[in-house]
Amino acid sequence: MKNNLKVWRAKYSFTQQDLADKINVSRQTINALEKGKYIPSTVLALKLSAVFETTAHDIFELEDHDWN
Amino acid sequence: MNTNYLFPNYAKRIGWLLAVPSFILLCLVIMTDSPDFMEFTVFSIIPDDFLNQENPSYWVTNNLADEVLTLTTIIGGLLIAFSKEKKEDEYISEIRKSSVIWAVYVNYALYMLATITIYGFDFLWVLQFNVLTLLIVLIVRYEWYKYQLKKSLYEE
Repeated sequence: MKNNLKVWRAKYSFTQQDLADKINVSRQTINALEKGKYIPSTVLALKLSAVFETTAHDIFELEDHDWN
Repeated sequence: MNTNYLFPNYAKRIGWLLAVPSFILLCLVIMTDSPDFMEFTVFSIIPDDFLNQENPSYWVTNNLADEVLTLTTIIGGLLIAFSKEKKEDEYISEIRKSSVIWAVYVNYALYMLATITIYGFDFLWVLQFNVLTLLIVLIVRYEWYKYQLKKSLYEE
């Protein structure tokens, strides 16, 4: 799964720490998400979309190999 | 996050203070000799020669140094491995869980290796240490992964 979290974060001028505080996770988690190392739970994905006032689809995108 | 199977964050420090000295002392006691002041008479549910004696004595004299140190090492190790992080979130839970799976595999791999290479009475040593290898591998893998995560923060 791909995401454009970094773009959204830049749009809102949030640091990784700002975003981490808003959704109550560690900065390491935001960093791992942005690097594509960690796929968040539905709860976390929806929290992120709530912070950026958008839908989960606008932040996350399935990749071909996700269907296998 | 439902994490009520974890200890509070401050318990981790207690765990380190308990486990590290206990483990070092345990190794010393096993390699050298137990101190005399740890000699006690204790109740044993399965005393020596339990089946052959008519009136087996359930009170036996034993040096409790290794027993006490094994217990404190295990309790300390559990506190280290299963205390909440300062920021306990779903990613850290994931890392802890994967470390548990990893530790089970490594633990049994070591056990199987010992089974086919160590025989007879010496195998008791294996059993003594195998009690702790699961926790040790779990803690090492988990802490190493956390360190890598922290390091990757500064690799921007």
